[in-house]
Amino acid sequence: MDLVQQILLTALAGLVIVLVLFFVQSGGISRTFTSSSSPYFKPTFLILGANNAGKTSLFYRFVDDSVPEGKKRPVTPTVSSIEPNITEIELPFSNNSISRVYQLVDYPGHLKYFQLFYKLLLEDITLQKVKGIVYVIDSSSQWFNNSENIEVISKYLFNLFSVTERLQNGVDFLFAVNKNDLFDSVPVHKVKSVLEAEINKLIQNELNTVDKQSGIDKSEDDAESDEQYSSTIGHESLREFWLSVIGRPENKFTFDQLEGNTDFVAGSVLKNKVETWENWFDEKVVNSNL
Amino acid sequence: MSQSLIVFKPSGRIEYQYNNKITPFNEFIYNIVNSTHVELEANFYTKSLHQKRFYGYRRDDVYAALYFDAVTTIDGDKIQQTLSGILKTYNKVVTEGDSEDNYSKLKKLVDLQFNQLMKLKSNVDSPVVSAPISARGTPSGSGPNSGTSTPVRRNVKQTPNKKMRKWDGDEMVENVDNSVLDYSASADGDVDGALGDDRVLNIDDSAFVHENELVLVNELNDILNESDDDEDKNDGKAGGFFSKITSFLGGSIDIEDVSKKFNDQLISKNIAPNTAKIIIDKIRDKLGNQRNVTLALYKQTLTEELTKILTPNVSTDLLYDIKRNSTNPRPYVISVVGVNGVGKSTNLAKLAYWFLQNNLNVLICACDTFRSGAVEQLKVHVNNLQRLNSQSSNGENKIDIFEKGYGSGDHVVTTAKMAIQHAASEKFDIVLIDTAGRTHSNTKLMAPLKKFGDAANPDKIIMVGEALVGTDSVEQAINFNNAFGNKRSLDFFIISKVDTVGDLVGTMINMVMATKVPILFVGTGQTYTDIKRLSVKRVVDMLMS
Repeated sequence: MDLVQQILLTALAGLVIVLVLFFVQSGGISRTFTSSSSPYFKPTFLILGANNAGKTSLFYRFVDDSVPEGKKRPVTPTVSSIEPNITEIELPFSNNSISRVYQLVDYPGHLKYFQLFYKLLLEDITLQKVKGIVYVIDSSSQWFNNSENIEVISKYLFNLFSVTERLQNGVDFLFAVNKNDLFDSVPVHKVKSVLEAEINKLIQNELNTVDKQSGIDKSEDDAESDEQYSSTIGHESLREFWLSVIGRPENKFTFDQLEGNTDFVAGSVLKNKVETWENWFDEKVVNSNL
Repeated sequence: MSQSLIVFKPSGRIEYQYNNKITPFNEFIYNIVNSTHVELEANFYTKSLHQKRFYGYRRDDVYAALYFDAVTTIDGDKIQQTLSGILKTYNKVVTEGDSEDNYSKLKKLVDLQFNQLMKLKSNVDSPVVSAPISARGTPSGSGPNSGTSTPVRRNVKQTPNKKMRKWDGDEMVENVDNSVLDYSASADGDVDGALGDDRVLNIDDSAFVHENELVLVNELNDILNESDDDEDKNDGKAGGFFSKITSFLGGSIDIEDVSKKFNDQLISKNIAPNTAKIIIDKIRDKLGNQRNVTLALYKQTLTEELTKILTPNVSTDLLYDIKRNSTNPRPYVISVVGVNGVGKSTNLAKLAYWFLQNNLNVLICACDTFRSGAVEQLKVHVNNLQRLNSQSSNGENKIDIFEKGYGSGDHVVTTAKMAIQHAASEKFDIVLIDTAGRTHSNTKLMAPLKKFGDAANPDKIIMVGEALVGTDSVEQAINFNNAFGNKRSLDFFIISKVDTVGDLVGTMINMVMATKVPILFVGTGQTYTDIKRLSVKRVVDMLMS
C-alpha cells in the first residue's frame, strides 16, 4: 500500500467520524422519529376534567381493578395532582383472556398545564393513538350550578374538540358524570344540555369575529402553518372548524354533530358505581381492530 | 379547631392522612401549582388561606403538608424539621415493605411527630420551647409543653403561693420563702407528672399505650439519625474528561456544568439574574435525584418549566367576560397603568380598536391629567378610530372620549367616576381609562393609584410593560402590583415593543415570575392591528434557541 492510498484512507475515515459525530450531536435519530421514540407513543385512554372532578380517584379505581386480585379494594384517597399519572393497564376489564395493554393517562385539570397537555397529546401520544377520552364532570349542583365552573369546562371542551375532531371519525368521548351518589347531583340530561348551550354560546361568539383586522383576532400561527399542530390556538381554523361542525351559523350545537361518539353516563367513584364506565372501555377495546 | 396532615405523591395519591379533613389541601396544592405560594426555603412552602395556615415540604418525590388555624403560630423551623422528619420516616418505612404492619407503624410514628408539633402551638409564648426531637426523648419531660396543662399548672402554682404569703406575713420572710419554693416545686412536679400521663393517654390511646411510646421514640430517633447520613452520600460525582465526551454524545451530563450554561443563556435572553437562578435551581432540584440526565432531558425540563411559567392560570377570554357583563348596567371598566413612555395610550387605542371590531361601544377616559398633550393624544386616537369605524361594515358601534381637562389632586378620581356614570347612561359597554405614567420607585406618585383603584374599581387593571427594559422589569411589576393595596392586584400584562427586541424576550419571564400575573397580549408594532395574543410556545422557543 503506498503512501497516497494510506493518506486517502485516513482522510476518509476522519470524514466518516466527523459526520457521525455531527449526526449524533444534532439529535440525529431521535429528531427524525420524534413521535415514535417518545415513551408515551402507545394506544392510550385519557382521563381529563376540571379540578376536583374525581379523575385521580377514577384512575386508581381502574388501575386497582386491572390488578387480578380477589378482594375488593377501598377507594384511594387523593388530593389535587401536581403531575400527570401515566400507567399501563390491561383491558378489557370483564375478560382477562383477550387482555391488551393500553396506556392510561390522568392529566391534572390545572389551567396552568394547558399548554403542556397539548404538547403531550399532540407530540408524544399523538392523536392517532388516542383510543378514547374520559371527561370527568363533577355533577354536584354546588359545583355544577356555578357558571364560572361551567365556563371553564366548556371552554376546555371547545378547544379540545377542535383538536380531536381533526382526526377522521374523531375521538370517542365518555362524559363520566361523577358523584351521582350525592343527593343534589345534577341529572345526566341536564349536564348534557347545559354544556351544549354553553359551547353553542362560545361557537356563536367565535363565528361573530369574522373579518376582524385586529391582531388579537387573527390567527397568530399564520407564519408557521407548516407545523401540524400550529392551529391549536389559531382563531381562523377554530372558526372554520366550528362552522363545519354546526353546518350553518344559525344552527344550534349538539354533541351528536361531532364525528366522535359522545356518551354521557352517570356514576360514582366513591360508591364504586363504575361498571357502566368500564363497559364503555371494554366496548372500545373489543371493537378496535388493532 | 381544625388541623390535619397528609403525605402525598405528586400524582395526587395520598400515602398517609392524619384525619379525614383533607379537602382544604386541594387549594394549597392549587397554589403550589400556580406558584402563588411563599417559598420559605428550598422545597418548603407556606400559604395562608381561609384562616388556615398551610405548610408543605417536598423531599424527592413525596410531599408532606399540614395545616392548622391561623390564629396560632408555630415556629417555621420546627415545622420544617417535623415535616422533613415525617418524610424520612415515610421513606424508611416504605422501603421496608408494603404490609399492614408497616402501615400501622408508619401511622404511629407520623402521628407521634405531628402531635408533638401541635402541642407546641398553643404555648408559643411560654419560655420553655424545646425542639420537637429533643422533647421527644423524654415523654414526661414534654408534659409542661402540653397546651392544656399550662393554664391548669399556673392555677395550681398560684393558689398555694397566695395562701402561703398570707400566712408568711406574720412571721419571718426569708426562711419561709425557701419552704414555699420547696413546697410549690414538689407540688408542681406532682401535678405535672399526673397531667403528663393524662395527656399521653388522651391523645394517643387510639394508637398505642403509654409503654410503647418510648420504644417508638427510640425507633424514630434511629430513623431520623440514620437517614441523615444517606443525604450526604449523593454528592459523589464522576467527573473528568470521559464524562464530558459522553455528554457530548448524548450520554449523561454533569448537571452543575449544564446548569451554569443554561443560566448564562437565560440571562443573555434578558432574564434577570435572580430570576434565572430561581428557574435553574428548580430544574436542578427536579433532576438532582435522577441518574443519567441527558442534555435532551435537561432541555425538555427547562422548556416545560418556562411553558408552565408563562401559561396563564385563569381564563383569558376577555371578550367573553365583557359580553357576559352586558346585562349589568355598570359598564366594564378597564384601566391601564405603567411607567412613562411604555405605550399605555397606544395599547389602549389598540384594545379599543379590537373592541370596536367586536361590536362593543367604547368610551375612552383621559385620566392622564398631568402630562401636557396627553388628552390631545388620545383625541387623535379616537378621531382615527371613529374614521376607521365609519368605514367598516358594522359602523353602528360608537367610540368616544371623555375628558375633563388637566388638573391635580382628586381630579383623576372625579374624572374616572364621571366617565363611568356617563358611560352607564349613554350605553357604552366598556370604559377604557388611561392613567398618567409614573416612576414605580417614587412612592409619592404611586400612592394615588390605590385611591384611584378604590374609586374607579376597574374590572381589569392592565399594566403595560415594555420588552426593552431589562432587570428593572421585576421591580416595576412588583411595585405596580402592590400599589393597589393588598385586596387588589394587577389582572394582566400587555408587553409592548416586542418587535424591537428580537428573541430577547426575557422581560416576560421576569414580570410573570415576580408577580404571578399572566401576560395576555403583546404589542408588536405601530398600527392599530399590531397587537397579538401571547403565544407561549413561540416565546419559549425564542428563549430556548
